[in-house]
Amino acid sequence: MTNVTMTVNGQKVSGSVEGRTLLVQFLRDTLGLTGTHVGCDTSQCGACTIHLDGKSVKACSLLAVQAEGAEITTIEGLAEGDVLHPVQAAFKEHHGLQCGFCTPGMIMAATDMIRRHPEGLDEGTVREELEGNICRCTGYHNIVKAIMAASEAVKTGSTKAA
Amino acid sequence: MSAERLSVSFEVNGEPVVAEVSPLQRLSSVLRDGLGLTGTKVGCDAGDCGACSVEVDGAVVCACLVPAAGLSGSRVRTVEGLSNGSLSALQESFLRHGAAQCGICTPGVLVSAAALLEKNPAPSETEVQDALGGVLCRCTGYRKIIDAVMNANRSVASDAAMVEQGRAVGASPIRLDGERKVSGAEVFGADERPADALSVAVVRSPHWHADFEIGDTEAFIAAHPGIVAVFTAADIPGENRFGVIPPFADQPALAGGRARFRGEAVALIAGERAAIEALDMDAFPVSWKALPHALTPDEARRPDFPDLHEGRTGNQLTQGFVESGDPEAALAGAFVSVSGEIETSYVEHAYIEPEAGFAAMEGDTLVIKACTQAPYMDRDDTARVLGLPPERVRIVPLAAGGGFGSKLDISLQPLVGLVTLKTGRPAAMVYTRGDSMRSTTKRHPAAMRASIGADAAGRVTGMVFEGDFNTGAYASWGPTVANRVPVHASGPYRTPNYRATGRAIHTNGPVSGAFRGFGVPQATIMQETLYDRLAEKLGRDRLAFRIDNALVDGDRTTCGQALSGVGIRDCLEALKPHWARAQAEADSANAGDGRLRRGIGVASCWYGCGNTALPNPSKIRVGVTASGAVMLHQGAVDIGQGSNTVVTQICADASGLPLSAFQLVGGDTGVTPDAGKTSASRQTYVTGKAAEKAGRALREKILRFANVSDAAVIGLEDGALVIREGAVRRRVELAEIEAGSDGYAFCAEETYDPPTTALDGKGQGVPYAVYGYGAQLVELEVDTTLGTVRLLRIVAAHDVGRAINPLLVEGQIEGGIAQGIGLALMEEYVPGRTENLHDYLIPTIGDVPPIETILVEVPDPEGPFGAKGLGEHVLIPTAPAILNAIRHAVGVEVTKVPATPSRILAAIRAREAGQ
Repeated sequence: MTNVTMTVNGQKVSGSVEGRTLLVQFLRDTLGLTGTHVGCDTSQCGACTIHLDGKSVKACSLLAVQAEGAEITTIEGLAEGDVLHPVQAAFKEHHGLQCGFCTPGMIMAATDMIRRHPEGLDEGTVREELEGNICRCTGYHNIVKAIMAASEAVKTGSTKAA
Repeated sequence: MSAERLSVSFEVNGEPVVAEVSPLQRLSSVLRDGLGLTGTKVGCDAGDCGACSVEVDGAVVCACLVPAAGLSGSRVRTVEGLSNGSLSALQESFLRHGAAQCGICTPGVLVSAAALLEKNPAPSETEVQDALGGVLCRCTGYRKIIDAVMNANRSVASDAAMVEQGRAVGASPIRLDGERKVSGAEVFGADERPADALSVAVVRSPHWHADFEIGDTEAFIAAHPGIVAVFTAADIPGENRFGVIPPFADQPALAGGRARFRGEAVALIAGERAAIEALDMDAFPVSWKALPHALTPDEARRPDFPDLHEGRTGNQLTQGFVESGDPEAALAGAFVSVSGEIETSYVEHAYIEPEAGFAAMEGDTLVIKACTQAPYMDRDDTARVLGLPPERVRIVPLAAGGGFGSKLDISLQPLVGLVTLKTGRPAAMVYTRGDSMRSTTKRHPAAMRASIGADAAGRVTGMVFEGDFNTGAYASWGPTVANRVPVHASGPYRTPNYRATGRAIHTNGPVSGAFRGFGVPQATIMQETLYDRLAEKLGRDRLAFRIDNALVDGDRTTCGQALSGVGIRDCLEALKPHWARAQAEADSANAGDGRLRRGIGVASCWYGCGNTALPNPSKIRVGVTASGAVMLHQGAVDIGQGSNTVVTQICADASGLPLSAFQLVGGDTGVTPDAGKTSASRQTYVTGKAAEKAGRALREKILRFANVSDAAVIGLEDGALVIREGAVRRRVELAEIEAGSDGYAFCAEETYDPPTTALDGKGQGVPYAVYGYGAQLVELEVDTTLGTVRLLRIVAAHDVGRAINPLLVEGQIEGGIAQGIGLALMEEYVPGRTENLHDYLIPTIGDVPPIETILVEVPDPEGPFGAKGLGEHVLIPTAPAILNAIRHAVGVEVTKVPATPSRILAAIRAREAGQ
């Protein structure tokens, strides 16, 4: 067992893990942050996407020990109190979800995508960048709409992403 | 003007017209005076005002400046061609934005804007201004027009609080369960686990068909610290068989001595979490003796292959049958006829959430919290296996991360339940992706044959259909598929002489169950591809041929049922302008000799909502609390499709209470009555109807209490009901009313069961009370060198009766099409080979083309507010429309679905070799 310490959603946390413990297991099972989902365990589906030092990564493809000292953000850390993050607000308002299982991963991937494209996003870029996130309900169109609206809202500094 | 008249043939709004015109007569005058299409206005007759703007061959022109005599062969679209029975999104947007005041310029503005939006669905303000620059308005100042055009294609969802009281139906409130899905707060099957829960591992058969013996489990437990117990079939206290249709229940929760498919559960290992996670499953003492196996119906019917279940001779589980008229005579006497055979594959549901949940005791009640589509069915099946009375099992649905049919059958419920009953400790399981794919149900692979004939006038006269559906090792929903397919295999077309047979055949393949459409998507591939060949033989346009044969009100189905509220013709008609455009674009793209060939295809669907000729009631309870909350006990499990929101919208309008006052109580069998399963496109219709009845009953109770008439308006203010009727105003303090045994100040509970009848030996009767309809147009490009298909665009027209929530309807259409694309082009589950999401392909974001949805609303006399179901309908036309478009593009028929690049290429090569 190894001790790991990292910052998750702004709070310093530590725990004792096996060398083989995945970061997603540490988040879900040790910290109880079940907003990060596991859909495939083989890095196809993207439901476990989180931010590690600001970049979106699949938490099933990292060991917890690899995150030693890192800054982690999960879906639970995105909103500010009761105020949804613009990407969350956009998914809600544009019906970018049905069952909601892929949604946390989609939102984390989208947030990082928007950060890397401050100039704004076109549909082609959104679709290309979301190739690692699978949704079985929506057919993706409303997800793309939500991300483009959120990108616009972030760009213009509007608090509302409708 | 000369008295000489010329005859000109052209097309207006998709209809051919022949007009006698004088040489200089203006198109505006021909439209208005000759054809009676007075929607086109004349403001100046000089090309200045644009009120007469129409589209001619895709370009917007002033009809007053176009001599009609020069229009031979042209396509004209006027404002009358913009709506399809109901208003287009653009027209709705004009209404919502107040973009029309006096209305005289509006038709010209709409036609110009529609042309813009077709090329550019999200125009900038400048682009809107450029496009509308030729149309004058004297009333509005143009701003609201610009807003309406720019926002015509945008989702305009609003908070529940913003929805006007009494107007929830037809509005698109943000889904009531949306916020927790975007915040990460939603609790899915794997998101809750009691701290002291045991983990459970399942030993599964690695063989298709095998006898097995379990060895020394005591020694195994002793050798593995942390392992608490092992359970086998011998430990099951009740009847070791489950199944969604009780008379056919045949699947053991744990197989006893013989496994009939790869992945079947044979034993459970319960232990502390760390011990289970560290366990080497190969250490489990079990010895196998493989038996001969059959993976296809043909193999399973060989005389030397044993029956997998006693009494199911030849491994036939059951057969469905519908017959009317004399199909052989009709085919023999047909002017033209076509025959064909098609095979489809196993399709995996591939919801992104694998099955998960846990069991725990609460007093003497076994509580199971898991993802599901059918809490009461789970309860009854689990109780039977565990030997408990149903009321001692309580199912609390956790959020389902997709279901699509497979989470109707129990999976882990009896397994965690058994461990908890035996050990007294909570027990939790989370399926791996491999477990989920290996052990749960699939779409039935089908092997189908059919012949269809038509007379010289292009009317279908007869059809014979036979389908063998590989139902796998156990019954599951096989009987439903066998019975539903023969009712639907004609498609929504008049077929006076008909015979259809559907058989469910056992094999040692994965258990085939319910998957969006219950066999109808497969059968529709057979029928709709034959319709294209029939139209070709007749020399008829493929869309026109379908319109001519489409069912209309008063027609009888092949079951002899007289229909009303039939919208298939409207759906097909709505595709006409798109069909003409797509055909022209394909022709011009194919003019050269390139390796990319364009094709277009169309297909229809119809689908009966609810169980086939069997009862399937829903019950809804709604109560008003002392504090003024309206609690809706909504047991129609929302697996993403939106029933939480839709059922609430219906109940809100039926009761007249504001949508924002409603709070949902979920499908927990301990507190909410049975609203049936989320299946068969039944929730909007059946549970919606129960919610409508319950809402009306609640309203009646409140009105009677206040002694006012039905014209009164009920409001809620600070824990009081405020009832107004004219000058009368009554305030009812809810806290002062003695609560009933249900805990509510006012409460109503209502049940609805669709009025159907049993089918006789020839399948005659009323199998469903409500049907929904749809038609889709696919445009695609085939790479003749690689065999790959690129989808360009899909137009989907669906008759939903009444769109209770238009945004959710569009969401269902887009999501259903995505699964239809998978069925047509890429999804093929091969047991043992594709048990993961890298070998099993489902559509990613790059695979779904732009989709234009057209909502057709032909009200159903039975449905709540006229609504029909749609969840399964939306998937059905996609695959056959794609196959028809491939055939149009490259002239080949792919007879094994999915039409993968290798199969398309092989068909192209075979055709070249044959030439």
